[in-house]
Amino acid sequence: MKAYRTGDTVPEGAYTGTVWRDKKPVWDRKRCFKCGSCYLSCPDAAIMKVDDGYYDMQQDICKGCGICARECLNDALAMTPEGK
Amino acid sequence: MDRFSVYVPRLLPEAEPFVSTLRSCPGCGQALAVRIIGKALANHGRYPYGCEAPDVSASALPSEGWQTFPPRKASFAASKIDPAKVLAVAGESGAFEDLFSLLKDAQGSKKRLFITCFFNEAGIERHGSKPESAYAHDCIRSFSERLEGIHAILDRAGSAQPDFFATACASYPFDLIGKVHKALSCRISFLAVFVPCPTGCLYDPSLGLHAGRRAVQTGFFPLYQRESGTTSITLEPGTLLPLSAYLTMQQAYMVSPEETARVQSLVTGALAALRKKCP
Repeated sequence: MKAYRTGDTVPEGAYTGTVWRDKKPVWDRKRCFKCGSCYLSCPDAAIMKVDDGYYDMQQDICKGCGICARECLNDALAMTPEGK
Repeated sequence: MDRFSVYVPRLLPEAEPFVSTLRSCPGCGQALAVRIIGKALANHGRYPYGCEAPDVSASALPSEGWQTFPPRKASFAASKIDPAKVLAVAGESGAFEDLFSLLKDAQGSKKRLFITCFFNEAGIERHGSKPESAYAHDCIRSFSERLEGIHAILDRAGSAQPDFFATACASYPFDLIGKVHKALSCRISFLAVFVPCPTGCLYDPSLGLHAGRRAVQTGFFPLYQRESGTTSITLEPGTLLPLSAYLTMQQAYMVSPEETARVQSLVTGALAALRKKCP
């Protein structure tokens, strides 16, 4: 797999956020109104803006702390077990 | 809340000088504070950047133009680099002495200095560079001792009479950003930032920002600033939450009614003294 920021080739899951987390944030776009609270509250700058102004997390950086889901103003984020 | 104010995060600069590392814990408040400060500095030029403990957990180095070194060398850099505006960042244990020396030295010179000092909740230290201990508590036995330590450091830093002195919290990012911008406009600035530490205090990492808010709303760490001799509370907590709302969030330290009463008396005394200074 490729590390997101540098583009380096790294073994699958090796020394990236994937190793750290057991849960990952998943956005519900029907509830998300693109305020950016999740983006601002991430301690790892792991949330990026994607198409149409919505947000998503970067696989190799997110540690699954859950702050984004806690800070979401409209419960548009849920922490989902990794692998699902 | 005004219905459009929720969109304020989108007004922040998109530039992300922050470089996440895998050395910081999930939910690290210090990493978030460094990131927010980096965003606040994003369009304000490049600064030589001296740091100690924060560099173990995170880095605000953009892709080019900045240098990192311990605060004790920051004054050397200030003398060599023009314009000599130096950003020095450290935690509040051992590296604070270097920050304090920088602060005092800058008074008698024409150096421009912006010092940021991080206070994490339980004083957990990251000694990532030392092989014998990756994590070590600062041997703090109680929250009252912790609070007395914080007050002592703030008093010491304030006694050096920087042009701008302020406290901030990672949980209130826009207050922090405003204070960073204010600090840049003053010659010598000292910013004390309270950062939640889920690992040190043993609570769910997702509660990191919530813990910081509780620390402010209970009066444990009030947010204020002093500029040109005038003190003002920047975030008035209003009716204070009971201290137990903050102290019982964590699992690392036992909190007895006697301990809560001790901390409450410290908080009440500190807030009264602070309000006396405000016009």
